[in-house]
Amino acid sequence: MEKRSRTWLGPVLLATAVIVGGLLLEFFGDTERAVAFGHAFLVFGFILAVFDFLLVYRPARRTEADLAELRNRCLSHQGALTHLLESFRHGDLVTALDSRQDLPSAVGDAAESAIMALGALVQQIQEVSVEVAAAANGIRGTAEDLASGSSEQAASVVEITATMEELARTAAQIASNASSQADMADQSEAAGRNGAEAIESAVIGIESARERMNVIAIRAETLDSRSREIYRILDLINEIAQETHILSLNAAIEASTAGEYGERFAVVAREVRRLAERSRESVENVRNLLHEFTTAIRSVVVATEEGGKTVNTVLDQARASAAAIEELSAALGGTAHAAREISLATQEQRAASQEVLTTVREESDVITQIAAGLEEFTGAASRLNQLALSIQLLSQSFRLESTHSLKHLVFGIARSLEPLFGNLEAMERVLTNIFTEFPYVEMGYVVDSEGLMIVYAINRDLVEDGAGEGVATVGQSYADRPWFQSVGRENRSAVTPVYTSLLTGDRCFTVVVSIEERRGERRATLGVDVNVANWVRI
Amino acid sequence: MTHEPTNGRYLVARCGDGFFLIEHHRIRRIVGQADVTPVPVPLPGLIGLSRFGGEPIAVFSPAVLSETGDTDCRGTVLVVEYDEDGRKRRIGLAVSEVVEFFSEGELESWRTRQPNGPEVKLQPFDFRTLEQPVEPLGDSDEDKER
Repeated sequence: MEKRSRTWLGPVLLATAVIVGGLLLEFFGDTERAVAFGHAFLVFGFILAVFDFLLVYRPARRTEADLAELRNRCLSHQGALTHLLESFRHGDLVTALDSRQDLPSAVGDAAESAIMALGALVQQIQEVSVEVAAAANGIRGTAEDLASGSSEQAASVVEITATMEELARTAAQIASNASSQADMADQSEAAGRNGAEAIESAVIGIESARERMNVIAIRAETLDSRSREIYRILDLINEIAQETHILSLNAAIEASTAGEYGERFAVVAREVRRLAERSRESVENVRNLLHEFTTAIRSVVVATEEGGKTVNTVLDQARASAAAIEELSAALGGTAHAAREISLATQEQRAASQEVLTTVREESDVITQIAAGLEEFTGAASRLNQLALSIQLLSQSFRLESTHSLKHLVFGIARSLEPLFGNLEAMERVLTNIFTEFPYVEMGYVVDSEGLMIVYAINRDLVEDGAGEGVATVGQSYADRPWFQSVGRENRSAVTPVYTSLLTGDRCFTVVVSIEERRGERRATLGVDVNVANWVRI
Repeated sequence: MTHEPTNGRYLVARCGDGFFLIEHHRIRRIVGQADVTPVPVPLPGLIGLSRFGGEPIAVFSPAVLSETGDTDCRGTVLVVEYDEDGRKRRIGLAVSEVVEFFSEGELESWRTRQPNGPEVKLQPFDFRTLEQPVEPLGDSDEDKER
């Protein structure tokens, strides 16, 4: 019951008291003076009543009406402001902006300015958080690559260190070997000089032997020629012996015809034949001896010729050997010189290798530190990425008129579903079509007021065929889900924390808004599962 | 054909691989380096003609006549005489080598002294191998056919 103002009652009572006093004086006054005072009181009371009516009562009544009107307006503004603040509390800046029209212009303007500023700030936070997440992701990738590269580099440095140590050892070995080689080359050079001198002596000896062999060959040729003359003489002797033999035979024949006188002649003839036979045998023996002699001479000639050829070959080879030894000696001198240079260079190389080894070890320590730092950097980048994602999710709790505002986008989907309520096929088509515009959405679904799923659609570009089987089914109850309870309680919208998707195994979160058949009346809830990796990438 | 006594002495001569025994009393002369002129008479064993004592004599190969080989031995010719149809006939036997006169008892001793003694075959020359008709020149079967 509204309590009205009584400020006008005091002047009325005063006027009434004055008028009552005037009447009392009029009726009960016994003097004219009292009557006159009574009249005066009446007039004064009347005037007072008129003034009271005009100056107190009527303004008081107008003030009360004005106050009532003002109070109503205040209540209206309070309601609008409450709605605005409620929208604010739920992060629905779009609704909050719509609510400003019911506020006084100054307050509305201020609220609009504040909403716009907050919206701009949130939008900026959303954009920046996306960029930060992307940058952190890139930094993490780069840091991981660098860490991996540093690890590989550290491993390579270890290998380089081992190789350098081996190189240093090898350099020392090479230096030692080169020194030994130089000594051996010196010895070989001296041996080569001795060999060259020996070969020169051998060449002189061989040339002398060749000359003697030439003399032997000439003499053997002479002997061969003489032996041929002896053969001819032997043939002549043989022929004479043959003739003598035949003569003696004929003499024996003639002696046989001479009878007794011929017997002595026959004896002589027989002796002549014997001599002839002995001559032939002697000739034959001499021929055999001569044959052996000539055979030996020819063998000597052949051997001498072959020996001469061999001597020539040996001589050529000896001269070639002398030239080769001379070249070898020169080469050995060069080798000794080169070996000494190699030894010196290798010793320098060994010192340089030691310096390189020291540097590489220091570098190895630095790289190890860098690798450790990069691992920490990678962890920091991952945490930064998580923080950016958290900021992004926090900023997504605001609904803005922006393409970056998931709530606003899902509200738009919900608005497009509202006229289709009851037509499940049409709703499924709408849900399927959202994957074209929002490819980072894994699944969209609608649950009724009891929390039972009535329709859903799965993005097959993200979810493999068969992966969603059993995870989402019509009739499945979501009544125990916090987001459902939150949306049901507040009749608003919600963004869930990040969780692991049962469909893809990736990280995802869900944006939930209510679907209203009429304004303020919740009929169902629209849920959209957002794949974090694809969303951040986009 | 008649045979005269040999008195047991033979001349050993070689023609090719064979050694022949010629009776001592048939030998008239041994001619070394004798000139033998070939003649176109198809008589087996005939080598050619030579001269002895101003008369021509036919020179035969003892190896061919005795069918122990086909060697025409050249070099030395043995002038021998034998009886044919009651008259003396003189021919030459070409040999490679004339060895010696031996009695029958000395032959075996000589053969054993040879390097291949057991294999040395001593074959008496059979003068009957010379008793064969001599086809007149131009009357051979081939000439008749022509």
